[in-house]
Amino acid sequence: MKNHTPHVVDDVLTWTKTLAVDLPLAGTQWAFSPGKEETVTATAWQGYDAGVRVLAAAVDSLYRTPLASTVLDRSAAVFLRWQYVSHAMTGAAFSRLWHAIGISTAGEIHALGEAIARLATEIREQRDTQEALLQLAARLLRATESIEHGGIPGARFHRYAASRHRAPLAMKRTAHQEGN
Amino acid sequence: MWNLIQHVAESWTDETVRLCDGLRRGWSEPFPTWEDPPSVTPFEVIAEYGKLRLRYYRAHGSAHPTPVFLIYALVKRPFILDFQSGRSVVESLTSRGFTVYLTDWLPPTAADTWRGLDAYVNQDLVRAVRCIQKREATNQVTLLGYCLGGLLGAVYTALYPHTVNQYIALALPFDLSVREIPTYALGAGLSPETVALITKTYGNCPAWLVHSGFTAMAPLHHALGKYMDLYRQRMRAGYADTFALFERWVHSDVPLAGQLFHELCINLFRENQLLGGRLQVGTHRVDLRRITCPVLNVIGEYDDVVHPYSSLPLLDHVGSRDKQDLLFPVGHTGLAVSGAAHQELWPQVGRWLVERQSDHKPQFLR
Repeated sequence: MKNHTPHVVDDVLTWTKTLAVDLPLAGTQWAFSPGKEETVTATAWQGYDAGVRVLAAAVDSLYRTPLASTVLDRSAAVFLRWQYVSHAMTGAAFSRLWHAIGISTAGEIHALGEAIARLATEIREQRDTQEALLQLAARLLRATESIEHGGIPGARFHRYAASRHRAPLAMKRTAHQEGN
Repeated sequence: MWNLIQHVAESWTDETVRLCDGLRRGWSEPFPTWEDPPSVTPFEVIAEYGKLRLRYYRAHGSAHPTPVFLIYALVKRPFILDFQSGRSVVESLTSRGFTVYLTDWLPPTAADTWRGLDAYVNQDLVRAVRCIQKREATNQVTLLGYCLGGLLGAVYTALYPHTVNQYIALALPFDLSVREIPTYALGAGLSPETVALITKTYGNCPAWLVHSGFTAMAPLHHALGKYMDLYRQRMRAGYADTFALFERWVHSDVPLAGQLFHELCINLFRENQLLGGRLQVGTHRVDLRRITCPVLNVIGEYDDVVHPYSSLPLLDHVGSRDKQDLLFPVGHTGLAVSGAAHQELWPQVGRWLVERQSDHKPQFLR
């Protein structure tokens, strides 16, 4: 694995050399012989890169000090306690006010949004079920049509044929009873 | 004397808050939402369980028998895994014939502060896997977890090993005692009382706090460096568009549920219970030795969010015989979005998956 240990000393030297020597030299060359701006640009970026690496190393070193952790912990605790109390006070102060003047609170609006999302999910599920039922009905209808044209194996045909004739038979019995 | 003053101040604030709580009506902390950019790979939302919305991505051509279940982290939005054409993990897998399912975690609300690892693993992930099993008519899925999603995936695989065919960890924060990254050393100084105060004050860990943590990892880069790089790369085709989209993802932080935040900070980060085999999720202890499926541990060599030393010990703790580390010279997000990763890394991952699609005999590769 590649070693990422920052070469801080090298970067500091590069940064210092760039600021004190390379950049003024490149600038002078550019002033006396046009067309050297690329050299100035490259030198400036070199110094910038070295400077960023130095600063990043400094921040990393700061993070590693026990003092930084302690300061962060203590200041976070103070800030959070203040937030805790202020949230409670503002909530207590304004919640009744919002209701008094007829404005919904954030919680109520949020609950509405969640209810809408739940309803949308239910509608989506019902629509999917409906589509599945319609597809099933379409398949049944196609199967029915193929029975009428004699394309179904014997057993199913007989059952269907029997059910098909029930209605006309019932109609005939009725007609007979009514003397038609 | 100082302790007495501190104690009095703490008691006073607690009592004041209890008094104010009695007067409050329906005040809840709104969470910030962020609209995702248009998806690169078309998907369909097929189910929603708890805080998980399950996305389905169809495979190109004839699909492999075992689907891939991508478990994304619980921080930021998941479109980093479907970033741009040619830089999309989802597109890479679907183009290789894998049916992909992706977790779209819904941000927790004030009513979700109780949600911890138990809820996310034993409820949401279990139901999602069951849905995939039914839909794909299969008993097992391939899990691919990214960062914190990898941690959820490891916990799930240890608890339900019979449902996982293969497990891929991508930049997994496994050994959280590693302090190579300076921000981790800084965060180690936060006391359990301060962590408890965060959840006590906000319920959930707010999105701005999560964002601050990530920014603190590279403050100079976020303040200055990335804009200078944008200027320096201004002539490079597509760089500005990629930069804008990446910035959108960087700012898509979502809150962390309170109980989960507490478990991450104390149980995992402070006490390193997962590596020590002492992590309890629900009523079960997480024993990584129960992971016996093939495991691929993908690590970014220049990862500055999850140090490689944190991910490497995973294979020493799983019970698999077929296990392999795969190091690639990119950073944390580079594993998902860099062009080099999609040209070299993801084809290797695809081959690894295909070789084990039908071969269930364990092979010792490490």
